[in-house]
Amino acid sequence: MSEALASNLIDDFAIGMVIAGIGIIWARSLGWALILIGLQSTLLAGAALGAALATDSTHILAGAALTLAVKSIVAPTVLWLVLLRLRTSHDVQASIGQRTGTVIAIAMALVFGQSLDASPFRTAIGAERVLPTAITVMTMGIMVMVTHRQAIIQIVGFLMIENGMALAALTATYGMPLVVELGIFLDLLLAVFVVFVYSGRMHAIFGSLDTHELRTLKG
Amino acid sequence: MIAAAVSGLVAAPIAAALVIQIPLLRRFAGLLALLGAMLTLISAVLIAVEVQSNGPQSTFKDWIYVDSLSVVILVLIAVVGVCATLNSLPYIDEDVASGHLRSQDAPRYYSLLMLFMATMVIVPVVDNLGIMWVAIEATTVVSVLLVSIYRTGQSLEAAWKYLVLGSVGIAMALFGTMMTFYASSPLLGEGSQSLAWTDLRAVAEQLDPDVMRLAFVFVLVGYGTKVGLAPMHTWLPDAHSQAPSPVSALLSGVLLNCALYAVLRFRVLTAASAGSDYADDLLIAFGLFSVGLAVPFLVVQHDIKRMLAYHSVEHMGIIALAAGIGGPVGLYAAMLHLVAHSLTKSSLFMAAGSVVQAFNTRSMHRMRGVIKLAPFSGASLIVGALALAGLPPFAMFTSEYGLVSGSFSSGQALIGVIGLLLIALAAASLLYHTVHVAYGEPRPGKTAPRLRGATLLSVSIPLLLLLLVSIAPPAAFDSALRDAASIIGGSE
Repeated sequence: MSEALASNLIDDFAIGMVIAGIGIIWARSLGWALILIGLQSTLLAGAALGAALATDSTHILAGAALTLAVKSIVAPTVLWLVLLRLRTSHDVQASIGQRTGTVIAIAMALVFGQSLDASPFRTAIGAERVLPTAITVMTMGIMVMVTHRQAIIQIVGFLMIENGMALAALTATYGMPLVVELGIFLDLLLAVFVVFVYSGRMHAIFGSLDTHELRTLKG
Repeated sequence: MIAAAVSGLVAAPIAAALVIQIPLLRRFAGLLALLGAMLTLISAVLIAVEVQSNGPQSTFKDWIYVDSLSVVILVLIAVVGVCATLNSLPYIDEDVASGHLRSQDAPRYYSLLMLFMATMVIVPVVDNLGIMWVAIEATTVVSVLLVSIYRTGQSLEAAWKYLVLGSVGIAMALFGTMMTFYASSPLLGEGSQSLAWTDLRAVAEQLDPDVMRLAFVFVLVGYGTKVGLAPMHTWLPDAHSQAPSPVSALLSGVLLNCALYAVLRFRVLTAASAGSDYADDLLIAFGLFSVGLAVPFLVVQHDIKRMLAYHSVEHMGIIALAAGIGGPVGLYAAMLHLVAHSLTKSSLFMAAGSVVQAFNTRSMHRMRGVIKLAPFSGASLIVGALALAGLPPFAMFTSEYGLVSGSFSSGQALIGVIGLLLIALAAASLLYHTVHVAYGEPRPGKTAPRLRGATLLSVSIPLLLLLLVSIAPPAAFDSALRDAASIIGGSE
């Protein structure tokens, strides 16, 4: 694959990731949020695949495969299992409304996309729009974590932050060295496992996954 | 020799964690964990001796690098690790007996404790900043499970906040690490050597200063969350107060150091690339803010473990402040304060733990006359508080004096004075609270708890070590701190 084609492809995938991010903020059911985060991770894996083909790099290819396995399949499936196992409400509870949230997310995407200056980071593959979109995805992830109340969707927000960061790493530096990437995925898997255990306990103690129950420790 | 010691360092706690899970050996879990911790300590001391006599060491194809800065952090982890494991023996027995902890969770506790130690000792010995990040994130995942070991709503709340804030914070640090990689890969290539600290140090002057400045902000905010620097500290009082007390001793005494260690390594690179003012101003700002923010929470605090936790925010702020003031005096003060804080705070948490168990409350309003009921715990609380308040002859007096004198000699007198005033307020509130808890009349009907040998040893060893380094610091200790300070200063 030529570098120019790869670069266009990565730009398109990156924009797809932003749209998936807006979708997660718009989504009112936890199931949809999980499908969309899986989709966003798959787009990330696609971007990595493009970069791997353009540069003939096996370690980016390995990164793409790991992304697909861990972030697109394992993490959303584990969170889905939590939902099934606990028979809890699948409605998203957020502290801002659906329309307000979506408008803010779109505005964020437009403003960041137009105004962020990526020039200190002359990206290795040359995909120009990627760094602003990566930062947009990270910020959206933080927004999801702050405004949404259930434990599951907060983890979806965390995965969005991770995805944004991985996108930035991919284009700025062709990804991190493979050993480090392996470690990052291992930590991510462990963290998802801990969330799996905790959501069970949270449901057993509070009868829901609403993190607003977690407000007794103060001062 | 160094390779064997490093293998022992990491393998001993991991092996202990696994062996504890063998069904027949589960009832010896505590002793096995103690054995694992002791072996870790022996390995750490061997490494320290080697570095002291032969200078910095690399091994395992340069994946491992230990210098004096690593050694200081490492030996502290090992010493506090042994004391915390020793302290766990009576503490966990008591928790199981009183029904706070399910008996089947006790071996799990010891396994996790060992894994926690294993993840911590990796941090100061790896050369690669990427692997260092992986190890620090792993400390979060393991220690979160220790914080929630009691399975109550509050411990779950503390653990959840810790997991979420810790992971998001540390994701920022990963972004900073990635930017460092971006800055270094044109110079060092795209392999893992571009994140090796020794290689980065060699080319640090040529790293793109704009990128390194941005990288340092992310690293400081990210690892700063784990250090407990305000305003990212909000998880810390919850996690440190809800965890079993020996775990609190480890969290507060040495885990915070691990994250701070990472910040200091990045500081060297940023200072070489973009000049030291930028990194130092940020350290001073976060340090001063942490000390200032902790004070009101300290004054009104009534939960003894939360109070100690807020003192950790304060003291991490002091260390950041001293490191930011910089110069040989400031950096030496930062290192001395780090050592003194680890020893004092771990002892205090373990002493407070036995008081909390005896009174069955963490509220300081309901603890009176500790010194009459439990003379040893009461006395060690008083001694620990005097040390933490920075009174002479304890080492924190020396380090805080160094902070102020460093600030005067570097023309930042105002910062030193503001810092000192805030430190004095925090110290006054600590002494006020401790005196109230220690003296006075115990409530009628309170019976004296039995003092166990393991508690006595684990609380007094750190205090005795503190006295040693305060009054008659061994020459090796002094030279290790000097070396560590000059490494952070970038002159080595």
